[in-house]
Amino acid sequence: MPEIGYVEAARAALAQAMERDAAIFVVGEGIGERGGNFGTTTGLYRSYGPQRLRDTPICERGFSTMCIGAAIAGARPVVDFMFADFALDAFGDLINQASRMRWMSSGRITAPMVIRASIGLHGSASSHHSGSFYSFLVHQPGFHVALPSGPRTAKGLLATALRSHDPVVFMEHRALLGLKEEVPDGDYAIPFGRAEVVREGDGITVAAISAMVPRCVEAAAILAEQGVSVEIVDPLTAAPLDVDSIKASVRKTGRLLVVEEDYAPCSVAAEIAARVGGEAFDDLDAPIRRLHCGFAPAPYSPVLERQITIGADAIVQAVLDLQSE
Amino acid sequence: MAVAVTVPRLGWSMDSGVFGEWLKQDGEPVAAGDPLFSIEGEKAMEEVESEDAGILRIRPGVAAAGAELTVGTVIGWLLADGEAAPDLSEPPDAEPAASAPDTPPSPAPAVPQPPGSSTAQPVTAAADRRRRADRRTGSDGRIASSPRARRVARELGVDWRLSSGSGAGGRIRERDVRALAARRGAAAPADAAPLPDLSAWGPVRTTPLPAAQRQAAERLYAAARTVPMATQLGAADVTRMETLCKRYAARVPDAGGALTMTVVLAKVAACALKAFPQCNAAIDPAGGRLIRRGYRHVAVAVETEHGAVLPVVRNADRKNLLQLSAEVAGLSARARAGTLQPAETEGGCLFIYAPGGADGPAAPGIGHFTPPVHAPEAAILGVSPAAFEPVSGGAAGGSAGRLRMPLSLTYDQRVIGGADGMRLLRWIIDALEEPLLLSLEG
Repeated sequence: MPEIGYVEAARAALAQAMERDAAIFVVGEGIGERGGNFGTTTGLYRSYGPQRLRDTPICERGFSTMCIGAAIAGARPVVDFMFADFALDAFGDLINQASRMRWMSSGRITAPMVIRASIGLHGSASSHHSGSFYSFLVHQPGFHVALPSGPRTAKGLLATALRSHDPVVFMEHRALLGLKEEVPDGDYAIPFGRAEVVREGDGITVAAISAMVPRCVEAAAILAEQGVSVEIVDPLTAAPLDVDSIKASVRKTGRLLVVEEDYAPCSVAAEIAARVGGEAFDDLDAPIRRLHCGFAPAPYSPVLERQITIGADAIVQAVLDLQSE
Repeated sequence: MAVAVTVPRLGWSMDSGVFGEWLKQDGEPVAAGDPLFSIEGEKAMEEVESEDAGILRIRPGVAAAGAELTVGTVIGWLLADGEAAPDLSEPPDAEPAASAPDTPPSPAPAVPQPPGSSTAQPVTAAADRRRRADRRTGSDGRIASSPRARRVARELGVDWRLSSGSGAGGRIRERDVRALAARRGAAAPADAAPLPDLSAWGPVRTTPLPAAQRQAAERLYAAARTVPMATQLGAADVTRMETLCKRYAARVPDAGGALTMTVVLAKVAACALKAFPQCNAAIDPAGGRLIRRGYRHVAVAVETEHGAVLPVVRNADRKNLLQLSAEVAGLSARARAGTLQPAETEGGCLFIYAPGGADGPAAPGIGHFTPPVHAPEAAILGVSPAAFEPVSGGAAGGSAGRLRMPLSLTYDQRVIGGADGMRLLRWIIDALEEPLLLSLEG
């Protein structure tokens, strides 16, 4: 298996899907000749031209709602928002139309589209380029929400997203973009709603989301030296959410820490904690703990940004605290 | 204020224990929950935790290794920083070994309460247990424990309240319960085959068991594995007893119960134990001892939707049938409502199990019922409904017949020999047929 970078792995899934399915086209700012702000479409313009790689002006509400129409009409648009913060302008029709369409039409009409955006605290992107926002959409019926945690899962989940018959929110933490790992060649898809056990252990379960997965792996290595055996579970999709796999792990360890960078209130971690607390009560040997970024808009200052970001050291500390509960 | 360290009661009938060793040195600071000393109670050597914090001052010459100490004996004090110990040179009155400080008093009498002592009086095991638990209760009066710890305790058949919590704020965790189970050598049903997923073969409905039922199930399981049992069958002619019950039935409802055959059986069984005290015993395999009970508590099985539970009627031999009727009625109602406390099912000497009730309708063709002994009681009386048996050539002109009640006595054969078992059942049958025997010998 070749070791490839995140951007290349995700692009491979898109390129393979576009080659297979002529109904797939990409819409967004700078995704044409330029190849996307984060290289999401590099090289594809040469193959498919402006018809399927449609550059747009800065008008998120307009181009996203146009894509909802195209999806209803039978196309499979990929709306590349660049930053999730930019998608806020488009939430109106994404929620009111795209997510509701299957129900409102009694299943006769669907809106198969991929809503793609980068998220997360990384590199001083400041208050308008660091948001996560996916929990708004997890909270709505009608969306699938995929949160890859590395090159392999980016490729596998995007391949599944591009085959979905419902709108899929595909959000990529920018801290992942520089990662490299072995990624299966060719057509490789990861099903939605099935968590992966990233690392096995029996002392504590850590459910980690998106870029927190590799950070927890880093923390687990430090903790292993201190004799703490950590099991890391990556849900991969926040909707549908595979709570059963987390419960199975908690059955073994008795302890659960959920690490999610997004703000704590009404988060996916809150949902996981509530479900495990309710459904695996008798397996818990300690209260469920959550670790989130600081509850403040992302600062520009790198010093301040580090203050609210979850580092491996904070994860190590949270695990040790929970061990002594 | 100096707090006395006393010999605790570790089991129901523990009067004294054999001192093991101090786990803290004289003058050493002690925190609440620290292991303080070890002592051999009824069952095994146990480590006793400190209930308070302070600096340990060991009372000289009292608690030496191997000394037998009465429950409640003061063996030391916990002092505040800088506080003087109670007068150590002059042990309290009634301390015979005072003149020889290195000779432990044997047997040590219960000593009067020294100044500042809060626990010098012998306490009941229940109170002792409660106090140990109080130490860890939160402001709302509950003991902090993790749900997992409680689940594991259920699985291992131990009382999680007796563990010391190692978690935050003294919360009892899984590891504490497992440590307790390991220390107690609790009969963990680990060798029981795990229950397969019964829903694989059809629909199932799962309901949690009330505490009393759970305890009954655990005891029964333990007994079935560890108690060698023998069963003696017999039958009593209860024609006259039935007539007597009917004649006096009207006098009972005012007392709050009903004069049933079960109530009569409880009285008869308790009196039988009085007549055969050697049968009212339990064996302690761990200590290699036979323990004779000085009381006659009788348990009466009550069928509930979760199976049978066995509430205990205390001192049934000393109560009259009116009192017993009311008590049995109350216990049965609580058992059926699921509100029986586990403690109310503890301490029985002999059990009576009459499925469907001893006064139930006759069940033709049904013979003896032989329920197993519930540890640690010595015997169980299985009662089947009385059936009418025609007597051939009856003197009373053809209408004669006798009510015969099949009885079985199943007992722990380590405690009751076959001859005694036979005599005990014979006595019960005689008393049912001729109640005067209750006054004569019971």
